[in-house]
Amino acid sequence: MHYSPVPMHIPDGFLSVVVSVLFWIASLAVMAYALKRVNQDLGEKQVPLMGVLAAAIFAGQMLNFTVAGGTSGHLLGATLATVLLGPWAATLVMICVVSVQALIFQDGGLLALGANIFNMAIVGVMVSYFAYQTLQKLTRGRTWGVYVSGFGAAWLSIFVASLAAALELALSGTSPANLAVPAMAAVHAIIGIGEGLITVGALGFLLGARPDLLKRQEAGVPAGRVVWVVGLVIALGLAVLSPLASSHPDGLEWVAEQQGFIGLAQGPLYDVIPDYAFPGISDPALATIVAGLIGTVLVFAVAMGLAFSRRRRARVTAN
Amino acid sequence: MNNGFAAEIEHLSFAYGDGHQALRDVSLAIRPGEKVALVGPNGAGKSTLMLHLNGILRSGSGTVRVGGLTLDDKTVGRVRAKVGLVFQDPDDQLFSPTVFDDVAFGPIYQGLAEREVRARVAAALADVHMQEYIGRISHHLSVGEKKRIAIATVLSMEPEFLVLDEPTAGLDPRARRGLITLLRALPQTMLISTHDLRMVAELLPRTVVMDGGRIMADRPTAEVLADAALLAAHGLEL
Amino acid sequence: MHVHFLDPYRPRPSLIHALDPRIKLVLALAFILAVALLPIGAWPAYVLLLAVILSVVMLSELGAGFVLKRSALVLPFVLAALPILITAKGAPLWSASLGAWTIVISDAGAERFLSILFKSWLSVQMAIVLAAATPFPQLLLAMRAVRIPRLIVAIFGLMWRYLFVLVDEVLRLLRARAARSGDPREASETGWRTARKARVAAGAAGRRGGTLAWRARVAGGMAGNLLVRSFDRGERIYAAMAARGYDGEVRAFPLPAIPAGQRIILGGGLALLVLLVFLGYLM
Repeated sequence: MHYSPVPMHIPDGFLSVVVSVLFWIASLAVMAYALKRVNQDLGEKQVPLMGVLAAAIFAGQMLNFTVAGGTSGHLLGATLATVLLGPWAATLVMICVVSVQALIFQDGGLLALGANIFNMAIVGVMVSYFAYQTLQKLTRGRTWGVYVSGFGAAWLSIFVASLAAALELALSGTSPANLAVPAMAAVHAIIGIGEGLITVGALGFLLGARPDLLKRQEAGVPAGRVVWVVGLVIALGLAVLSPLASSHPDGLEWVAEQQGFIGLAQGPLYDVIPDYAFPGISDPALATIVAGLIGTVLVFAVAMGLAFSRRRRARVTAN
Repeated sequence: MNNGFAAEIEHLSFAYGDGHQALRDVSLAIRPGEKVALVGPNGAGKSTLMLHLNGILRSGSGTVRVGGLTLDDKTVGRVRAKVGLVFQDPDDQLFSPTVFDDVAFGPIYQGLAEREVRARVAAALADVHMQEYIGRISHHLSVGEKKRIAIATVLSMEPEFLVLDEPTAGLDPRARRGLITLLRALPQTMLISTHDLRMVAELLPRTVVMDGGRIMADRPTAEVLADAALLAAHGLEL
Repeated sequence: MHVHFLDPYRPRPSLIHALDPRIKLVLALAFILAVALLPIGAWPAYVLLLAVILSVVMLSELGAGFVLKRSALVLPFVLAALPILITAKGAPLWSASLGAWTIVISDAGAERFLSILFKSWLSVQMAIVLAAATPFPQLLLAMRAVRIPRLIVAIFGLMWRYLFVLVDEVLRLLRARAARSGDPREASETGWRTARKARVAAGAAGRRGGTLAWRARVAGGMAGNLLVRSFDRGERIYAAMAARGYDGEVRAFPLPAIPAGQRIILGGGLALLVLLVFLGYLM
């Protein structure tokens, strides 16, 4: 069965339509730009290279190691992808990984996919890039600097991505911010350590076996300035927003305002048909029962139709 | 200026980026319809030589001509249409979701219309006796099946010259027998790099021995296989 | 060798399987959107949508057990919504005291929580049917039809193709690691060499099984190994593509037209969903 690396893939039903759509728009915009940049940078090799690496990251997420007792740490891989491919190709690779997880394995919803992509593929990659570049500069390119940078970038990317997820849940009214944010932050602060350790292990192998692969991306720093800034802004933004949100006494209050905004749109309709819960039926409980009856009839009809067509099929093949 | 050769290599030398000199002044001429074996120890430069035949690797020193066409930046596309290179690992060659997609890839990139592409796919699969596999998913196939489909993926481009890298490697005796029968039936000019000298004896009348980036011998197969000293010198065993 | 458990597709001679993948993708997404648009507590609409998805599951001949088992995936995430039971403002429904704390579940909280749960369950069932009733190459076609950029679809295609190859490699790496981490107590089964190596490793790390850092390094090394091999494979695949004329542009046949009968199914399905959303808001 598919192994889920981190508890960050939000299923459908947990995010409001407004939040889902907003993050879909954001993710699509970033994806469009990433496509343009990768086209320039990688050229003809982009499809085979990114395709196989996406498969590798996905498969790599199955690599576990025992943390304590029965629990194991897994790899999300955004940092490694960023270090090896640069931010734009890494974004596309992670978009593919997260999308296939949602589409084929139902790890994360389809409407919520926009937000999941934003958290894991965009925030994860941008923050990795920003952290790795910064830490590398600070350690002035010494060998142990690679390990510190890798660990720091991996941990931070997981941590910040989880904050984004928590805020999305809070904005949707699914989880009160003052509980969701600290909970997600705490859990992922620990999971981030696992990601950091495994990233360091991988970087160690790469430094020994193929240092040329690590050098590939260092040439691209000037072009990545935008990403660096974005990564910094996202990390800072979420770091500031999260405590603000958690300190909110009732996380639902600001959501209620948002709902009121939608309620306004619903208002006129409700006034026109004040007492009807269902055309002709005023009691909501009764309405549910009627709906249940209609539904049962429908399902029954489909079942009968299926049985009938199967019998006909069997008779045809028997002749 | 076509001397009627299927392929000519003249004084080809090549060094990889890391400095390793893989080819040293290699010259080779193959006539249309010939079936030639390329043998030698690992690292002799066999694969490097093959990658020059369709322009994936290009060297500054030496000339490569295929079907009279000299390989350069402008002719690379046409040369690739003439040379069908079948790689050692079929998993590298079958990169599309379905068999149809893989076999259709070459014709599609040759710019053919949909109807023509479908006809080419059907013909190529018929040539390798795998018509029923047309809708199958590539990763569900066995190694032997994949190798045959890999050959179909180049046959659909209707090449004049087939170049195969270790076609029988990793095959069980039955699959190997099926592949040899298939190769015997194909009319194209062939250059086959292999360690399988029993297949060479059966199928390929001419043998080129390579070692250390050079051609050590280029003689009829019977002579090469009878020359024990030659075989021993280059790590070849029947 | 063949990692089939990763492929959710189950071939069946069903109506759903026979539908054009574009129709399936659009209707599945529309269904999930419809579910999301429904307000909290719109139980009549929820029930009708349940009837719809149950009919679809039946028509797909996948088996209710198959779908139900896979739909249990959303359960862990339910924990995220649990606090709503307590924090939503409303009339108290149930309360319990745990020492110094009193937990009060409000009726609004319960309704909200159950609505989220139900909606999530409805959505995931539709996603499961979509994946299990549509072979991946057809899903790629559907993606092209909904205007996902050809480049992304091409990357998806390659990713899918090599997923199984690479997962196979990972499983081999994991098995090799398992073989080398033989427990010294099981020397009789695993052989004395394995046991000796394990003892040496444990001795060096100071603990049986090595330290956490060592274990992470081993796992990381495997990940690095996998990535390096993938880079090389990517180069070889590019060479194979170039050998067959690839020029960097993604090309494919134009998509065939959708048969009229299926267009009616698409229209009817969308109309039904719009109606049900409308109904949900009438409460």
